[in-house]
Amino acid sequence: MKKFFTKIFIFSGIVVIVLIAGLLLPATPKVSHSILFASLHKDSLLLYEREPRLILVGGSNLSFGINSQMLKDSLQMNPINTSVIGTLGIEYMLKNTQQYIKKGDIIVFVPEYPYFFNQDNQGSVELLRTLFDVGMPKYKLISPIQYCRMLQYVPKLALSRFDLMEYIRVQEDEIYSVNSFNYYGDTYTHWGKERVKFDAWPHINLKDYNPAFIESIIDFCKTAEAKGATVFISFPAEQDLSYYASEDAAKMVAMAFYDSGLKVIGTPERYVFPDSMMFNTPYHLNKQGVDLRTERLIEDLRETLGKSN
Amino acid sequence: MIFTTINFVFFFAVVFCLYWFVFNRNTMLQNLLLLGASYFFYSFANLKILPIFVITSLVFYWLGIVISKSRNKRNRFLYELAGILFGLGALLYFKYSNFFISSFSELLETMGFNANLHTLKIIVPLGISFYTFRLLSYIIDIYRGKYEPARDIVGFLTYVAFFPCILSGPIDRPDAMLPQLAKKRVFDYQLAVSGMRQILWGLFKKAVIADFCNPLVNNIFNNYGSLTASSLVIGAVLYAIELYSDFSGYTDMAVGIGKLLGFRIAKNFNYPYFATSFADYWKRNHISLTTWFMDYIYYPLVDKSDKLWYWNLCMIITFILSGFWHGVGWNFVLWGLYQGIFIVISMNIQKSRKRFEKKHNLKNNAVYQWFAILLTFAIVSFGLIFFRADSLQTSFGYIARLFSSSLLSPPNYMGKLETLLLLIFIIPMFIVEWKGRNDDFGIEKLFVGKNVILRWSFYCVLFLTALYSLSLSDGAAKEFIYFKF
Repeated sequence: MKKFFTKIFIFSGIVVIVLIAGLLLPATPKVSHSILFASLHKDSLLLYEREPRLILVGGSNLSFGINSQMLKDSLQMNPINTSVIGTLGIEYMLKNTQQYIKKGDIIVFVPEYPYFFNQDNQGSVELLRTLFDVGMPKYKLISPIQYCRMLQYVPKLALSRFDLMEYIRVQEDEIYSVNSFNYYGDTYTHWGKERVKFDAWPHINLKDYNPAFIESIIDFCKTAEAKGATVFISFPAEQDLSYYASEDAAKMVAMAFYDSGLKVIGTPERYVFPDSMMFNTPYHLNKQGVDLRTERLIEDLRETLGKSN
Repeated sequence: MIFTTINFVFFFAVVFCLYWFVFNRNTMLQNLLLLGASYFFYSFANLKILPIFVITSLVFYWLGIVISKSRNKRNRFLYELAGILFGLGALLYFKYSNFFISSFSELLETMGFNANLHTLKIIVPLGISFYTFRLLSYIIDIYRGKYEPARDIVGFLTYVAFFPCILSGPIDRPDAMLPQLAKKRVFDYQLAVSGMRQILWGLFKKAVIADFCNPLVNNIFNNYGSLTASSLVIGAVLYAIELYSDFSGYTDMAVGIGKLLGFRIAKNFNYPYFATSFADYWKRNHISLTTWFMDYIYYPLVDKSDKLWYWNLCMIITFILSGFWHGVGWNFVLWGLYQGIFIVISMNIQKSRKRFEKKHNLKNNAVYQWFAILLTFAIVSFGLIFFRADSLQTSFGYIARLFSSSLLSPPNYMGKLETLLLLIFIIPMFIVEWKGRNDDFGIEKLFVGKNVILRWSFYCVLFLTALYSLSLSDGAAKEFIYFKF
């Protein structure tokens, strides 16, 4: 029995070594154009962009839903759209932004509703890829629980480095690519493109509600305010069909924001858009939708900033 | 619970450790652990199906005892008949009642009646086709006086529920398994190592070959109407490879897990795609089911008849029933009929073929042997179109298009590059199996006794390739094809 277990142990050790080697290898050509690499430019904007700064934090809802040039022209601020993809999770997005906050920054955080009803915030394959494909220095931003959850994706990422297809089939996606973002960090290559057929989202089960992330947002606000910044919470733009299928979930989240004393701008309903303004998911707007959503955000910000001034 | 999931790995690790370190004092404790683990495994997906399974097992346990105790021949027969009716009745009810209702409804509608028959909302107990056959063979063999009934209820229930085999077999016979359950198992290093190798080989076949074939096959079968005949030929061949890799992969894992627990489970596949005739194919493919049908359907039907036409008819009937056992749908019945016809042809030409081989000295002729292997494979693959198609209509549509003029046109399905890359795995798999065709499984003796680094590197490549393939599905492990039967 001892001999048997010794062999199992040695075999497992070899497997672990190969996985670690895979993780340490550079990103394959196939993923080197992935949207995750956009975070490099976005981080440099966070680091170097001049004041007054308007920092937008969220998931792809925000990257596919904002025209930063309009924000700049209307509010006379320098917008930085930091959003990449929602599955990076609230905790990571906030911790990453937190490092770069400067005095006087206006931060608009737009959490997507599903964040509060699933576990993706606790570690996803995209987060793991951000660590190992894009670059390692972010490892301090990841919590132990996120590391644990990301373990399941290690074989996929590590062994993909040895996958022939990752080197043969290298085709840059027109919409989901590092080059799909404009200077401010908005996805713009889909502007003017034909709508892609998609299904509305199903009802969100309220039983899965996880209020723990509200605490993370409150902590973030406190830290940002201590640094002299102001944080506003806004709502994601959503297709009407999907929104009304889970209106109770959206209202539950909004109520939690109000109850926590967060600075909320607008209402969930203001960011509900007709199907004709969507692009390829119930969270991604087309150009017409992007402009309307940006206008509404400008109105909300003006109203709030006007009051606070 | 699927063997290729992390849940199963944890489950089995716990069972393995408890089995060899805590419950290893006596046979009863080992069997109790296996029984508890098997019931947990069985009810993991749906607890509701467990009572049906337990009650059925207990009924057959009792029937075995009363058949054996009964001195009156008529009573023995009545108890056996009751058991057969009970087992088959449950199988027909759970698995086939909706098929009969919808078929009857369609028939009435074609006759002009307005049939408004509703199908039943039934949960089909997992593995019902497999455990029913295991239980039926138990009481039939007791009735035939082949062996005495099990007195140890824990041992019997463990035999029926044994978790490596409960969902898709092999359909182990009681006389093979019950004596093993009656003995205390002592850890056997060689057996355990062989088990690990077999699990690894099965995992590779399932996770790499079958799971990579699956989307290509689905794509071809779902869009056959717009594809060239050459694409459909590739689809049929890939499906044959997928089915074999999936099911033999599952079986290798089941047998390997059994070995880790100290059991020797019946061999279910003997490299069927290296068969040189259709009759030979059925001696090598799904052996435990084929022998079951032979022992309990074909031989009793043939009885003492000496008429060749009657033997042939019985063989066709046996395979039609086998087709019906496999799946709910007329396409499975047709698949069974196809198998029956070809096996009858194969058996009837066997003598003249042997004479022909002897006359032309072809027995050891490699070209002739490979021609025979490829011809058998082609016949098998063609038949599997009925097996894979969603319905009779789809299978006829597929076959009609297969014989269209586009046979010489290049394939036009999505995934040609993937198919070529898949050959990187398929070809070595068949080479390995060819080299190991005299062993229990493909890699049983491959590199054994040779350079340890070479052997371990080979195992690592197999494992890591399988692990990568599994990781691509993001935790949504693909079920084994035979789970639905």
